[in-house]
Amino acid sequence: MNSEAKILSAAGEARRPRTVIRPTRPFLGSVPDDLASLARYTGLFRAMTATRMKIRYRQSVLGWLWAVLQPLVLMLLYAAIFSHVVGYDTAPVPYPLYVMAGLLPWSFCSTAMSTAAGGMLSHQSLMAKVYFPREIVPLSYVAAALFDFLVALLVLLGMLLPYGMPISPWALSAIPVIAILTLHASALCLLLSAVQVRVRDINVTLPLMLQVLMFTAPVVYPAAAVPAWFRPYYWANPLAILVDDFRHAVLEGQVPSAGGLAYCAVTGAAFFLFAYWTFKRLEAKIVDEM
Amino acid sequence: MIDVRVSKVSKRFRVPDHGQGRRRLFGLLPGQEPFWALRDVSFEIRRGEALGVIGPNGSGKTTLIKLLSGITAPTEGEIEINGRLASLVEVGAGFQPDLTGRENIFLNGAILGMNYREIARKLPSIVDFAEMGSFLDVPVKRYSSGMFVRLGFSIAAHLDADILLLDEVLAVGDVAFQARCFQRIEELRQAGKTVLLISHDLAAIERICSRAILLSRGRILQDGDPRDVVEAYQASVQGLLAQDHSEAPGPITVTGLTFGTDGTGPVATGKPFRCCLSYEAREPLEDVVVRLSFNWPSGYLCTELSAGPGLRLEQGPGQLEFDCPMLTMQRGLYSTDLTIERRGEVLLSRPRCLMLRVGAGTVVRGDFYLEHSARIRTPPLTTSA
Repeated sequence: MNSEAKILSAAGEARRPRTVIRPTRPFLGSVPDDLASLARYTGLFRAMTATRMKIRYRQSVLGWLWAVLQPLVLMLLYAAIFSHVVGYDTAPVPYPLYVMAGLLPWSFCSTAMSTAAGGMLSHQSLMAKVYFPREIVPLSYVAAALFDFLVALLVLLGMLLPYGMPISPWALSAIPVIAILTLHASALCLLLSAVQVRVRDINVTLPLMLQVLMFTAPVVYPAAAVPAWFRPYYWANPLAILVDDFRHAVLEGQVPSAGGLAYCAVTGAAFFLFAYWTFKRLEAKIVDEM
Repeated sequence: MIDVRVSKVSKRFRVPDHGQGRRRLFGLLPGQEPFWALRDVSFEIRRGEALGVIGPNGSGKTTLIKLLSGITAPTEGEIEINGRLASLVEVGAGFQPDLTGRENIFLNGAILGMNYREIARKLPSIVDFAEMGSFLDVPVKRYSSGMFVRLGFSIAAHLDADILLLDEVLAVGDVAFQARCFQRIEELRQAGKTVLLISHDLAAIERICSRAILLSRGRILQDGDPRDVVEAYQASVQGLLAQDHSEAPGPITVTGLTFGTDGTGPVATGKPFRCCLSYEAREPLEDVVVRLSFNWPSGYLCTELSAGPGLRLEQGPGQLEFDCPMLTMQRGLYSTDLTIERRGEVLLSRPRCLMLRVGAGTVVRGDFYLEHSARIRTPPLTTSA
């Protein structure tokens, strides 16, 4: 694409791009332009995502195994507490598998959010020197976390066999669930990283917020444990729907309900647009604030 | 053809108000007095022009670069850019210490807006320019600081762009590397690129740029020929340089230093030059050396006048006169260092104590005037004779 541009500029000077820099950004209308310029930077997005993954595991002894080990250890911990001490009944699914299938989408979200929030600050000196669409930084953290998620998902599918559970072809219906979850996670990360440059309190409160957020979805407990009167509010949370849908699809081959998915997709798209617009509005000020 | 048009641009910063975040959050009060890094700045850069920007620290030079490259947005005004713009900053900041040189080249190339194929094509040239040798597949945290910086600059220097912004890049690396940077900039100039150079190296500004602007406290003070602008800048900082008189009085004090000619007009190239130093010695001084050094705008020594060794100064006031039959220094503004020594012991040192302004007399190109004559011989002398 770039060599093409070069030939064109050699052929006719009229091909030079014209850029105008003004103080204020126009309202929501600027989003298509921003997305178009983001598309031109896919190379950077790929390079940054690859870097994240390389750095994360380069100097650790177990390397890639960590993507799997972390949820596994959590699974054992929660299995010990909730199945033996509290005594949740998740039949027909064994509790360890149940909790693992909830932990994977959840740790994807929480890893993405905690790394993306810190990531803006660790790219400070670079951002002060070079312009590139800043949203690439948080989005590359989402992509890296997604990759870990997919690796761990393969392990989860492998774990079904020793438990004597079949892998249903309908498990493929988890794919749209993952896509919509990624949309929500991206929106959360964009919003977090834009705001956290201004309000550093987020760094301190994020672990707490993530803990709270985890219990708003059926990650470690079955949704049946939620009191009946609270359920309408409970299921208004797209995260709860997506975690539940993911689990049923992967473990039981149960296709998610179209209504639930549509609701999550629409709220996800709206949330993403809002987050993206907010991010771009604050973008020009990010360097000044740092 | 105008490549860059900056119209009435101002940039305001709020002075960072650490610890006042809560007040700002609730009261929405402006944290502190706003600070205008740039105020009502307008200029244009024509295609193929090389514009130098000079000014003291804090005058807004770097803010200007940041606005042009889109890193921050202006508070007021508008900037129009026609063409692909690239900022030739030293991007070592974006290096990931755990990744190898090769991996970092691809990452940083992408940050600067190159695609994979483009970087792969330029890889040998980038490696060559940075003199990395066998270190290409070594993590950059094992690099020497010089190699680190060279690699960063080398990637940036391989950008294809119509307009190039250079911020203090010439301060990078050793002398040989700087020479190659100069050469690279010359190549880019000859290829018709538009260049904007920010540097404290005034000699480099004079050498590379076809035009210069002087910034001070966010405003443009002067815009024009690099020589005139550099002179204006130096004249404006002269007061600062002459102010150091706080040292304890030694055995000798200087009461005056003047530059003149044989009485006909101002100091200029090709004319006689006379320099008069008035002093007062508290004791008789034996074996003294008095040295007046003249420095280029860049700070390098141009030439010097010296008296002694073996100079003998009587107690009391006196004058020392230097006489040059012809001044061969070129037009410009030179800073003067004065030192008085006795057998290697420094009795008095006044760095940058006075500016010598040399006017345009005998105009030649180059660094100094060589007195010469020329004549024609017919028939020619045979060389074998």
